[in-house]
Amino acid sequence: MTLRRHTLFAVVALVALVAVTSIAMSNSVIGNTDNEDFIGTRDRGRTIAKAATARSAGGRPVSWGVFGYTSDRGLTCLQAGPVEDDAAGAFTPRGFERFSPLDSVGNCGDLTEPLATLGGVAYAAVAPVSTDSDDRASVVYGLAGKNVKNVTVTIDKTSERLPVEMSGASELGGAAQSFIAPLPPEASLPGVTVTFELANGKRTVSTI
Amino acid sequence: MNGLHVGTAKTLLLSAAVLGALLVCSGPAKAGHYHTNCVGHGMVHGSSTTDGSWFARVEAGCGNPGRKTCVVKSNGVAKYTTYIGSGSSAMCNQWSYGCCTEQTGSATVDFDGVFSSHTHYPH
Repeated sequence: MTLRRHTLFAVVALVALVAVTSIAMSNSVIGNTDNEDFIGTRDRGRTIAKAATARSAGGRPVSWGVFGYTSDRGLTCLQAGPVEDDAAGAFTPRGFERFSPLDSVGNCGDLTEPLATLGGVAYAAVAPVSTDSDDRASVVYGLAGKNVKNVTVTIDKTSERLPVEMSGASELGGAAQSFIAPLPPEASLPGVTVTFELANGKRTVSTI
Repeated sequence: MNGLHVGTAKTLLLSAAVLGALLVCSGPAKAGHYHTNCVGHGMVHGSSTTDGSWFARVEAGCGNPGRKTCVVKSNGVAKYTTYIGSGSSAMCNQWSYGCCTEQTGSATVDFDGVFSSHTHYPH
């Protein structure tokens, strides 16, 4: 009987050990994603859209750019930041650094479904625009599919429509165009609606 | 037989206590920096927890009903923010760019329609 109790205890303890190990592993494994998923080959990355100069909260003129690449695992990755020397990047404590697919810092995904149903995908960023990390500005950007005729970006609070710069996306993620719209310094995120006007007259929206 | 039942009950109680204690001990670490509520989200520090390189991240999924937000904060102050518009299957992935150490950093994340805004901290 003692042997049976010991056996039972051993079985239950083993089950407990497996359960706890699984939980511990879920802490160290990054959900369903891994940084490796977002790494791309250096020469695949490029600045695919640039915006007219806007101003930061501190009054500094800022040019924005959208950087896109396809990761080695086939995901479409996008990010936006200030432009220096014709390339989009980020102001960091080390100064301005160009975006690179090697850093795995893009916002990545398989965009096939939203491009087919919504017509486009929208993103936004708030980032420092100089080495003064407190001087920041905001930008809305994204990709539009072949069936999109027009993209409008509207600030919900004021109904103000922002100027949108459109440019070719070189088939990135199956999209036909990229877009970018810097926000004025008095506007803040979230609270923006991006409307995709499709060739058939239908309108779809993505809210940020 | 009666002795066996009593012994078995004691064994099961002891096992349950051990299991409960282990689960309680493992729980707080999970909630601290990254967890899953329909999709994984939180603070991702990579292979090092001391190099100042980490992410605020919200994975895509759950039908992507609403806006995803991921904010890198230093001592509670927002430094870099990314938003992904509703309906997009892109993941929200904001890097720290070395703005701050993992120990002074935190990741505030939000996913409209899936979970509300909350902040994750390092280990």
